Amino acid sequence: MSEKLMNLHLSGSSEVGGGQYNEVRMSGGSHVRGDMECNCLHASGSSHIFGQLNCHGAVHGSGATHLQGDVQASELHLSGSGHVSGHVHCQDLIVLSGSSQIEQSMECTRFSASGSSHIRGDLRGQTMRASGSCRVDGAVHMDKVELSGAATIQGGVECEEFKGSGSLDIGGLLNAGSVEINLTDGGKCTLHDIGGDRVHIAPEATLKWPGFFKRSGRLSASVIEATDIYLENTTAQVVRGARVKIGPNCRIDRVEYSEAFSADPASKILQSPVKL
Amino acid sequence: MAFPDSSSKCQSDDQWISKKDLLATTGISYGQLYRWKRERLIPDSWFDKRSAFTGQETYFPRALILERIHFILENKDRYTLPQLAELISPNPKGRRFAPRHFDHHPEFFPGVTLILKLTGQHDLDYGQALAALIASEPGNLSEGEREFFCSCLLSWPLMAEPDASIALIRRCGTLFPLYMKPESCLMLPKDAQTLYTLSLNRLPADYQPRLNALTQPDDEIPTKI
Repeated sequence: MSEKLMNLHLSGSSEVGGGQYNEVRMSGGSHVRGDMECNCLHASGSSHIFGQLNCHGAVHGSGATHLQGDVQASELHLSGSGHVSGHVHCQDLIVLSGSSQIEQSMECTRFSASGSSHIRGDLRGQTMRASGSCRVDGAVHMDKVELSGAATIQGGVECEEFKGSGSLDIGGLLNAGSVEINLTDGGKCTLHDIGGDRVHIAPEATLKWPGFFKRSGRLSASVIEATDIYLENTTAQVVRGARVKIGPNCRIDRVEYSEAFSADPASKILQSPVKL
Repeated sequence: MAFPDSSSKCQSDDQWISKKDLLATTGISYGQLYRWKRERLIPDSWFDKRSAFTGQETYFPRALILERIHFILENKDRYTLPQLAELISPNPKGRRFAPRHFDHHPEFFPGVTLILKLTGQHDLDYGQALAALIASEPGNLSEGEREFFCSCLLSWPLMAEPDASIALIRRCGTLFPLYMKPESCLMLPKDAQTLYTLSLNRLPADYQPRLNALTQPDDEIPTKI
């Protein structure tokens, strides 16, 4: 953009067609009817962009922000009630807080969600951190994933490092180099298949009240396959690995191992463990 | 006592290998297998999950998976995993093939000539070169039929669907090139003749290496320091 661009400040109840701007500020009830290109965007109040949004810098939406077209930006920050209908591609950050509805997929480097987020498509990037209530209908492809609070991912997760706590609901396959799940009090984790190098599932170690009886969380899964497996408080149909260690409070239908196996006497393994 | 697998498909055991047997045979670990799946070195479609008496079991097409594991093990110390994935299905935008690259390979001539003619270009990109190689293969085609086959190959996703297949059917003097997605079943009338078939999963092992061997790194734009 070689010629000097104007800033755009919309306030009150206003409408503009679209266009190229430098800094855009929208507040009150502002509508952008077409495509917009800008260097940065701040939207508050009730803002609606009907076309594509191409922002060379950061997009900040608070209040009720509705981005109807695709979004290209270096960063996207949505708080309040954010709604994006198109596909989102950010070079760096996506930060969702408040209540966010994302109709399609998101791609970025770093992703952070708190509050209540619902992403209908896939999520791709390098690092993902979600707390509060995060729901992804598609699949998650990341290097590092950290989930706490209540997370639901229907289409499976692929990453190098997975850390989870709280209440997790992951459909499809959780395929990760290392899977570490801390079962927090009363938390219920429902997974389908888990595969990877190292799987460690156990209630979080608590030093505060040693011996104090708490209802610790449980995890249920169909098939857990990894090179090294350590499980506590887990119900699973099949557990397969090279080195399998079943800790207390587990209920496993079938165990197959190739190198080493041990089981806590407090756990139930329905079929005799099979050495491959 | 072995119970028959009630959900087994009508295929002989030696066409498939279970994940367990695969790990035992190749010596690889679960960690490695799952990592290679993440890196798309092993296509998702090769993972065939079946309910068995012993719980959920995954099976793989035996020849394909053993070949692929062997390829990965042979090359994993020389290349990073993303580079290996690139070797298996290289970025078609990267390489270009000029007619001179095919000088010592007359087996490519029929296809290369026709595709250069159809595209009007001076050289071919990776996908076009692959199409040229495939188009040169069937023996008993007329020039016009081979050109028609070329134009079909140029419009088909040759590398995007690893498990699709191609067939050339001739009936009553007319050639029908067909592209079939995985798991489709083709039934032909009795008077149709199948001239040629190709499973696209053979591309990485049989076809792409032949193309890769045609261009060397110093064929690319030289930047002498």
